Amino acid sequence: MSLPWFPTPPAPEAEPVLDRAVPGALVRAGAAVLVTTMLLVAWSAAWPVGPVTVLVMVLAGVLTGLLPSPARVGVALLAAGVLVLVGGPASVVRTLTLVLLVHLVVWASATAGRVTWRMRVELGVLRDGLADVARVQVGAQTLAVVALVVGGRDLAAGDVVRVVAILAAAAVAAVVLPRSGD
Amino acid sequence: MTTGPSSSAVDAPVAWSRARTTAWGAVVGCVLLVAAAWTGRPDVGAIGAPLVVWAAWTWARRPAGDPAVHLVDDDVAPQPGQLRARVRVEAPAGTAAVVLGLRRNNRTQARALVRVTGQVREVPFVVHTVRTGPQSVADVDATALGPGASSVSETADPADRSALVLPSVRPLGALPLPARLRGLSGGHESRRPGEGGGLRDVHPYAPGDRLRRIDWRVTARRSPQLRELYVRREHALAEAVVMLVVDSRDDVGPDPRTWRGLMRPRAQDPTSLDLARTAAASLAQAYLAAGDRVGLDDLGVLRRPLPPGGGRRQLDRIRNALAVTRPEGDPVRRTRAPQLPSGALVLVFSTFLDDAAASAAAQWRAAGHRVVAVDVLPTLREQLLDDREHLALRFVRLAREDRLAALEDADVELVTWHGDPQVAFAGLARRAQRRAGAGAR
Repeated sequence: MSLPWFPTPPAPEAEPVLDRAVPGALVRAGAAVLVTTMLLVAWSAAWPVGPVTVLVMVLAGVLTGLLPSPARVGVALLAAGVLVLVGGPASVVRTLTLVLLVHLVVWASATAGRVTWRMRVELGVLRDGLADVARVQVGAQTLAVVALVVGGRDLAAGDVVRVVAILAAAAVAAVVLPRSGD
Repeated sequence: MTTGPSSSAVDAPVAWSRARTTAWGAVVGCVLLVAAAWTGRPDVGAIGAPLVVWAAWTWARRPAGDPAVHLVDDDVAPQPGQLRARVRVEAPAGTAAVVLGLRRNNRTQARALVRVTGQVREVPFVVHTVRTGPQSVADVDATALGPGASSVSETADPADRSALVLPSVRPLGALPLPARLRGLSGGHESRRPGEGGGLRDVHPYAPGDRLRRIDWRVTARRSPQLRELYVRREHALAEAVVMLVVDSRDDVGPDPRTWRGLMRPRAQDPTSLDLARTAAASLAQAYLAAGDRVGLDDLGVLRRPLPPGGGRRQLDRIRNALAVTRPEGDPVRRTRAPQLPSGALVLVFSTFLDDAAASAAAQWRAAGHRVVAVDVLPTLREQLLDDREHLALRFVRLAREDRLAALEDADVELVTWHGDPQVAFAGLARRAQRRAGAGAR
């Protein structure tokens, strides 16, 4: 039932028939989740995560992801970097996770910036984008490990397992996910 | 549905630009690298490096070339209320995705981010509309995205395509007939003696009567000595001539706020002209199926009418003529009603929002035609009207009701094309079938 002072928007007259599509709102929500996660991981490198911190990070993630703007994304990335810089040397796994997250945030925000709330997004587009990210991540994670080791960071046995797992996951994703244009 | 030519294509080269989000990421990455070098923190540098690499890698892989978009017909036959077409996107090599925008009636109806593989992608789409007549299927524009959505092309020139949607028909039952029927063949009994109809009378044999018409039982009863023979005479069959007169000067939707022309009626709302087209096509099909002759005239233009004719091809001609009927320029002011074939049943399709159609109907009735006025004004939606608009609509309604009452006083029969119009037409048909062969009242 529609109320007279809240008229329901008319149904779209034209609809494209897409191949496995998701709403644009979901893409934006995914970007918000990634931004929130990135900020929380960066914060946790130095300080404990409390409820207030979570609330603030969620607000920042919602603001950046749901209402994507290049400047807001840049500020969020810079904030993550500054938190790591100020908080002291992060653990190897946390550093590698942040390497992955900042990359995903840039890609997801760039994609979400082209997506409107009511837009439909084919899953193939997201799959191709993730494959590109994975391809770059193989090199980025390797370089990050090398940089950390050269910088004097010790790798514990558990860290080695996690590093190998992250590298393997990135390599598998790069190989399995199709290249754009295939 | 018939379609018109498409427009599209891009002639000038389209420049690709950086996505600002990726550029901001590269800037932040550079800042982090400098900070890492300054403070000797490899972890910070490792976080900033992929941002720079990503921006450089995606920019180096950006496509070079122009995207183009075309609209092509779909192979599937159009269904009532639906138009189908396909968007053909041609993107340069390296394009990761294309943002498609579908516009209709100056409003964005849908947007989609689609994957493009092999530089060409066809995306079918469906337009939900109850509109008939000439119309644009959709305006489609496309913006191509490079890898990682890090580069974006300029929006390609939009493509559009026009279509002519023929009015659909709905089944009707019994229909009224004119006062006089014509000819010696058809689907109705006339008053004249002939062959093919029901029993007219029994008459003494006369020269010209066929021997097989002799009714031996009546002859034996009335003239046992066979001094006189009696024959059974039948009514002749005849056809009706029906003229459909469409008032194309008005095309109003159910929302009175759209009558000023500033807003367009929604595609899901049939306008008065859509109803008139459907009503006229339905009646034409029903009369033609009964073997009658049907013609078409338009009150809105000074044009030679479609003369009465019969058969399937006449129905196609009428549906095509109805489909292209639309308001054209300033309304024609007629001094007298168009001349119609004598004895024809006249069906006038109008909103009767002014006097022209009602006046013409009254003139035809005065000239001896049987006239049925078909009211095609849609059921009005008044919820969103303000007080002034309510008052204005009330005045319009009062004038219209007076006009329709005057029509009934002039012996013009009135049918409203809402709900079940076949019931009203059946009532008119029954009213005229008081005696065999009368054809009408």
